Order: sequence, then C-alpha cells, then structure tokens
Amino acid sequence: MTDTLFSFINSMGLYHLTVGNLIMWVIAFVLMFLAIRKGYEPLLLIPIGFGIFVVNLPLTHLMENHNILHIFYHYGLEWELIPPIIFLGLGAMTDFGPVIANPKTLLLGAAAQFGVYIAFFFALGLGFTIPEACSIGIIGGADGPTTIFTTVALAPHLLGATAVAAYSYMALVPVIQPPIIKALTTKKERLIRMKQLRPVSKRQKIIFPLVTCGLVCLFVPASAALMAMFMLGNFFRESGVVERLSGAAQNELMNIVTIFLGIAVGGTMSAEAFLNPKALMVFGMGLVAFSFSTIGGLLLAKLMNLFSKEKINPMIGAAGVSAVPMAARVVQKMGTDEDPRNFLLMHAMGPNVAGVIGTVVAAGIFLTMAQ
Amino acid sequence: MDIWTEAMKIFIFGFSSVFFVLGTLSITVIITRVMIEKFADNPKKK
Repeated sequence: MTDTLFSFINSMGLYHLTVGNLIMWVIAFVLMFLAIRKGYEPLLLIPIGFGIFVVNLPLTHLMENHNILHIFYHYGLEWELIPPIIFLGLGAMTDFGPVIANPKTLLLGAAAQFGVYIAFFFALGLGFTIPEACSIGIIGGADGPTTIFTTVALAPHLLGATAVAAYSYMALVPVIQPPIIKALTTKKERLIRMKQLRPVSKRQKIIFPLVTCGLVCLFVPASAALMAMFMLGNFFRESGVVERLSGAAQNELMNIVTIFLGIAVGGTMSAEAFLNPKALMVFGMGLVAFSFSTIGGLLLAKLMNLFSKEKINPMIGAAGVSAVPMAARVVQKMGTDEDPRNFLLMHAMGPNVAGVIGTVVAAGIFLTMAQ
Repeated sequence: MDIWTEAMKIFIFGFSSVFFVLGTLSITVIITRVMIEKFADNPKKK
C-alpha cells in the first residue's frame, strides 16, 4: 500500500518540481505580462511564454520524441520550415516602393548589420565558439525568423535564448534607439527634410522581387530559402492577380506558423537548457548587437551626407535595423518631435526593409563560412 | 587555425559581402528602373 502510494506521488509532476522550473515560470509570466500589458510583440511572446511555462511542467515530456512540442520543433524548426514560411508572409506584407525610389538606402540596410559583427566578436571574447558567436551576432539583424534559421543550423542549443533575445529587443527598439540617435546626431541633422520620394511604377515593383531573389541567391546561395520565400511573397503582393494567395500568406498562413514557431521556441527553454551563464550572456550580447547596428546605420548616413548633394536625414540610418516597422516609426516620431512637419516614415521604410535583405545576406554568409 | 584569424576572415568577407551584394542590388535597381522608364512605361501621348 505504501509502495503504491509512493509510486503514485512519484508519478506526479508536482513532486519533481524544481527551483529551476519555478524560475522559468517567472520568466514565462514576465514575457506574457510584457505582451499583454505593455503590448511588446504579443504575437510571439505569448506563445513563447506559454511554451516556456508548459515545457517546465515536470514529467510532461512535451519536448521528447513524438510529443507535440517536439513535433512542432522537429518539423517546423529543425527542418527549417517555419522561418521561410514566415518570410513568405512578410514579403507579402512589405512594400519595397521606398527602396526602389531611393536605392542608396539599401546601403544603409547593409551598414546596419555592423552590430551583427560587433556582437560576433564580443561573443568570441566571452568564450563562445564561432558557430555560437554567429548565432548570437545575427540577433543584431533584428530579424526573428533569420535568427531562428541561423541558430537552428549553427547552434541549436542556443535557440531559446537567441530567439527570445531577438524578439524582446525588437519590441524594445523604441527604448533602445532614441538615446543612441540623439547622441550621434546634431539637432541640425535631425531637422533635415528630405525630398519627396519619386513615384514607383507597378512594373518596377513587379520586377524588383525577381531581380533581388536572383541576385542575392546567385551571390549567397545559403540564403536562398529565406530570400526566395520573401521575394515570392512580395511577388504575390505586387503581381496583383493572386490576391487570395497574398492574403493567405499575410494572414492565415502567417498566423498558423507564428503559433507553431512561438510554442516550439518556448519549448526549447527548459530550466536545464536555459538557466546557465551562456543564456544570460546571449541576452547581454543581444543588446550590444542592436545598439551597434543602430550606430552603423547612423554613421553611414552621416558619411553619405558628406558626399551627397541631396542631404539625407541621418536618423533614417537607424531604421536599417530591420525591426519592421518599429524602427521606421521611431525615426518618424523623432523627426516630428523636432519638427512637426517633417515626415520621415516613408524615407525610413527604405532602409528598414533593406535591412531585412541585409540580415538575410549576413546570415547566408555565416551559414556558408561557419557551418 | 587560430579562432581570431578565422573570425577576422568571417568579418572581413562577411561584412564586405553584405555591402557588395546590396550595392550591386542598388545599381541593378537603378539600371532596371531607367530601362523600364525608357522602354516600357511609355509617356502619355498628347
């Protein structure tokens, strides 16, 4: 009888609850609180938070073979399926008009990858291996799916930390960027008004995804999965004849895979996997990455102004951090704070979406060289 | 190979590749736009 009772108690998860599990619950609740009360990236932080909560319920084995979280993780993430599908939806939502109208903003998107490499070096200095440092560095690209895609390939044991860091810092862009922008620009620079963007024809918008996909994939084949899906989604949007496909990519498909992505990422964050100094260092490196990416974009914009007749407002360089559209909105707000008639949003959207392409290219290079 | 040497290679090659690819894309967009405006987007006839 006593044996049976003990056996029954032993089968209860409650009996096996550890301090680590409780700490992870707190982290889960914090993420859910930030999502619900503060509105920080709720589409990701809610399923991630819930995934963290359930995976830290002892003896549920949800992340072990053939259980639901493991199935989402294995077929969605290990098979690198979900990030490209999310990019399909993102492409369908993205308007590349500002980039086509002002192609030099593509260079600002490139400069904003500076933080990726700074964080890469910092991570190496802290004792991470090269593949791990690449996964940490790519957080600076401010692109969740690319971070996940790269981390699964190079350092899957860091997936939980890098994904949560990437999405958390993306939500904190309105907090991280303004002080950096103010520190690196003068009031006169922030007041620069830019010429209205030239009109872009439908034909140009249709050809852009084909050209971009071909060019990037020819130079960096490792980025093909993400870039091809991104440009396919954009092609759906711009062709104008497949509204249903574009709509499905932006809505139903995007929503479904976001659920699977969030819960699978949360499922990787068990106490054993997450509560170690490396995960905390990843969070610290994420902030370094974001900050230096902002700095890189700003500095190149200032440099371009030295050689350009038509001045650009250097704040749009900060929008090269590809947290679309948050970074562009930050620049818009700072512009109108200085001058209520200075509308920078569309100008900032150019480097903002260019940064997505830049991050994918940077990730492709990492995958080519570090795998 | 020393890890820092490898890291420098990744940085130099990687960062310059990002600029190269996006710079090439920028030039391609300009050329494509000019060609489309010249040959395809016909001006309105009076």
